[in-house]
Amino acid sequence: MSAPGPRAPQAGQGVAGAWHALAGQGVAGAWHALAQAEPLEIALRVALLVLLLDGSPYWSERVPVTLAAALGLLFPSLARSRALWLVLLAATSWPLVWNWPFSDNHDYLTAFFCLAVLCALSSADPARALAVSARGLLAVTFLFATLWKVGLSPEFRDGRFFRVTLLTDTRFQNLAVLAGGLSRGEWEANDRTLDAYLAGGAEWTGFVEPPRLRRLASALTVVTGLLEGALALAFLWPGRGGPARARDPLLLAFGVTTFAFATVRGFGWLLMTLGLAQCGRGRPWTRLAYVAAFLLIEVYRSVPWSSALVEALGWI
Amino acid sequence: MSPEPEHGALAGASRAPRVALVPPLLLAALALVQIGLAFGAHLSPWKGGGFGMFASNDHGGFRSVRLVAEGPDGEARIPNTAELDRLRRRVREFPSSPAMQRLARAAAPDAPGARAVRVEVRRLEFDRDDLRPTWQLLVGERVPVHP
Repeated sequence: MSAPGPRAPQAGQGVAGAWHALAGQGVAGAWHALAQAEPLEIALRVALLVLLLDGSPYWSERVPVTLAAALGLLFPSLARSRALWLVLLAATSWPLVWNWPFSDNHDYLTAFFCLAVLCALSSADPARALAVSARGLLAVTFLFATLWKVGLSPEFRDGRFFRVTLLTDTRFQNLAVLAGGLSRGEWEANDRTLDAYLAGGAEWTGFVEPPRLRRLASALTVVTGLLEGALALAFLWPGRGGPARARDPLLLAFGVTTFAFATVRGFGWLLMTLGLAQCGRGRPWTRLAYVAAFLLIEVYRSVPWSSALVEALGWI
Repeated sequence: MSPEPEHGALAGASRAPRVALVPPLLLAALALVQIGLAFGAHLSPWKGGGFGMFASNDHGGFRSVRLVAEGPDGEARIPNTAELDRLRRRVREFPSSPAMQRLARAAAPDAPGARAVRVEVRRLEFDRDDLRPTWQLLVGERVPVHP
């Protein structure tokens, strides 16, 4: 008996239909079912997955979020429950106050996303309301990220931020080695130089900074500023024409490039979830692209691909 | 059946439920407050929900908090301890006057006989050309303590 081909899930099957398809029809069927699923349901499920997997390192903050998110994933009817999202809003918000000012920016965005879902589920048209909120959250995020970089931070504009980051931030060490012309030994020597100088026991002898690394820092400065500015414009632009057409390609490009090195998994996941949430029905490939980018961000974080490349190329 | 959201949404934000605009507007308000605190009260640009991360080298890793005890025999540095660590990190990220006073009072028992504890928050600045780092005083506060 031959395996049946992919078919659309029954109404309301959604992500559950995708799992059913995965079991019965293979990956192609699962992709098909996922593409046809309710946009709101996918957005909520992916959001719950983010909340489940990207918990706080502190148990008192993590446990309530993990339990609520797990319940939402295990019992599909709960995923649309306002009570569940109220609990999630409370559980993601109180650490922002309790830990002030230590929380990262994506912790705030997570809480605001929970608020957005709660508002959406309280409206007559939850899918549309969540799409509006998600687009607005993305617009505000990139507007202020651009404002900080381009308008408020002279050291970003003159390239110093990326020069210093490439030379001192371990997250960017492999990028500095792969594209900046620095050897790993030189990077570590720079690190020791800075540490010794800051400890007060040594004269400043200067960083080893190849011209290629300076060019890389300049390129990163320009590309980051332009990309984030373009994202802000695209998501702020009213209607569907003009720069608004570039929303999804730009956000996906941001996701698959930025988080290859800046391994801030939670922020990347949240941006892809917001992208998914602002996506309407009728663009299944765009939604699938967001899911694929979501998975890729996990691969970036878990697989030491840049270290392996550095080693393979013998640039240690 | 309710209409699905259009591509790009908000083809008319005016037609969307108004409640949907609440989260983005609140986030924008928070981000404006964060900018005010960063420029008016030395909050780290990386913190506070204003999306200033990866824009500036002014972050906790390049900030330092120094505690100096002023006593009858002169001045002495108060070393960091595990008990002071959280208060010290809080001051490092957001050196508000109440936070610095709390830190100074918590540190006072480590400096017996001190008349006052001075809290100094400095940030590392990198030269525009050769990236030579220098410490710049951001803010300081002298807190009288009773021996």
